[in-house]
Amino acid sequence: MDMMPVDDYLYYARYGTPTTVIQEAAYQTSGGRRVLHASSVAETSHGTHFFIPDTNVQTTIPKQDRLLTAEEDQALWRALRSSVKLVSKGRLKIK
Amino acid sequence: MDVTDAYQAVTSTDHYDYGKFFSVDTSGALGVGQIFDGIRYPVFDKNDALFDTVEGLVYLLTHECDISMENERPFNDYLMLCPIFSLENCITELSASLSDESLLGFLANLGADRVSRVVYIPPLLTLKYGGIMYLNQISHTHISSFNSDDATQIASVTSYGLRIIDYKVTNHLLRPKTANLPLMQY
Repeated sequence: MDMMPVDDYLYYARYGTPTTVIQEAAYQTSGGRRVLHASSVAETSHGTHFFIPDTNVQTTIPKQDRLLTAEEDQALWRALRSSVKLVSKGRLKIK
Repeated sequence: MDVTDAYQAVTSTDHYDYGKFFSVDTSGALGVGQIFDGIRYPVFDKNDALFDTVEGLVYLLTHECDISMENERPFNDYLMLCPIFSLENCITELSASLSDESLLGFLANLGADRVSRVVYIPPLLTLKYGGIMYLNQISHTHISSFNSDDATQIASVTSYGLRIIDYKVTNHLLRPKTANLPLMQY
């Protein structure tokens, strides 16, 4: 079985429920895509740590629990508007 | 706050290896993790309730197969993108709204990748201190925008960079609903 590098392996990890964020991971073989189940999932203050059996693959997926405040969201919108060139108002102008 | 201090605050967490984020190979087909400048797309202006056409830096979200001209299928000339702006502009605007203490807290969370709505991307050409992908402004455009004279590909991500972005997009769009919907257990 040809295993891909850890980064590629983890690329296929998928989100599950909030308590078992990573339920499974998949890896690509020369014969197609296969699926393994993560055996060790642990919640930490920083995120969810998981380990996949038969490999040394383990990582922590950070919690995405920092929501933007209204002020931050508006500031980011202004940052976007100040970063782009206005082409036209009210209609999409490609050319 | 000075942008160099902000950059230090974002990158001091050392959460990701940003040196592995971008690829030197920019020869891939359209849709394989590229960043373009000079792309036209619509942005809603809440001040006059109209969509404006703007031109700027974007990350192309659409999968390459969905816009390949080799695939004869309907709708393969429209694509989705995510706007990017510089950390400098971000800090300028956030500094106007937040105290330095609050701003430092935001930047620390940004560097640790805990902010669900944005993705920090490392420095690159026109983004001296890196930039912000603003997931709440994901938009769309026509493929001809990428053929205009102003459109320039400035980077491609590696599989490492793609994984970071894909995690964020997946979490932002597909995380479980908080509300209990009907037929949840069936």
